Amino acid sequence: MGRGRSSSSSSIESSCKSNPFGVSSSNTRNLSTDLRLGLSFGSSSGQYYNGGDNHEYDGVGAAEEMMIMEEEEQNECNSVGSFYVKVNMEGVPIGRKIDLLSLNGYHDLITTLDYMFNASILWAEEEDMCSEKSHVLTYADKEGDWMMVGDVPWEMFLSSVRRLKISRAYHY
Amino acid sequence: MNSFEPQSQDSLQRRFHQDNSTTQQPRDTTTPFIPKPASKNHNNSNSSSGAAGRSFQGFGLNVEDDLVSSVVPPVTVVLEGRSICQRISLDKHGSYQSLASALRQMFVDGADSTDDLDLSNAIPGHLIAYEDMENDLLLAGDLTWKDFVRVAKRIRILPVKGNTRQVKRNE
Repeated sequence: MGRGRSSSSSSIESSCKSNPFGVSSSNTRNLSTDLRLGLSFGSSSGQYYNGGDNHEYDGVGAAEEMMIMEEEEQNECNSVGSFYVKVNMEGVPIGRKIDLLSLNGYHDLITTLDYMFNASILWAEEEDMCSEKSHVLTYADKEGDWMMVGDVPWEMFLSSVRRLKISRAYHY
Repeated sequence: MNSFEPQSQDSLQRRFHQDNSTTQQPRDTTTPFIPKPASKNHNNSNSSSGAAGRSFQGFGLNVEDDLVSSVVPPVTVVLEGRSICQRISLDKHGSYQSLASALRQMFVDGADSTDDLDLSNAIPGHLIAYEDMENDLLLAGDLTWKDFVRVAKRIRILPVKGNTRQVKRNE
């Protein structure tokens, strides 16, 4: 499933940061912008000194550092007042995006996802019941750990969620 | 490309010192901010002197639309099963409906204009999905149009297979 397209790297970064499209200026401005994202120098050093330019960038950085970078870039693309996260369901190749700030809480989230994916989704508040629901909602937090949705208050959930996944529930 | 590498390293070192100075406030990416719009500069020779100001280009309210329209490259459109792709400039469209109409013109022979056209029925038997900059495949239509234009890097038109679970659009 690897679809690395190193030739598109400069386009990707330029478009996300709304920089004028050009190789020279793109390189310079990407350096400036990336440093202001608050990345540690150790992380930046590994990425920049090993990669000569944007075209080699994707293949050089460590996967973890790339994940951090990409998540920060993703947040940059959210408009003020909305917070879109990606949702994937196990077995479904096409993901969705959902604006968590437009929801009122966990029940609203579950109802919306039930409709989007035509599924019956379990979450933490229902964990004790013997449920026949076939899927469980999990989220990736800031550290990349997958947690069950509903384990913390809604506001705390909003501050740590990075991605959602609807996994198959195994009851046995 | 060899000539760029030492320059990048020098720029990186200078900015590292700038960012580490105690007088400069670290940028809090979680706090929404509205920086002042910066003038559009195509001249690369001044990149080092004005880099700090230009790093906020494109985020001003008035300048943003102009900059976005000038920097959004055309995206590749791939119809599953066809080997030859097409290209489309998303900034020339103002809505998902306009995109749906363009895709229908591209891929449906003898397509007539339909009043009730949207992404779900633009190309019969197909879903309109896109790849973002993380190469994730997502269904088109969930984001606002402006956000979609910003993050979509490739459009994939996939057949709705009988054995695949139908994904519903949340409208």
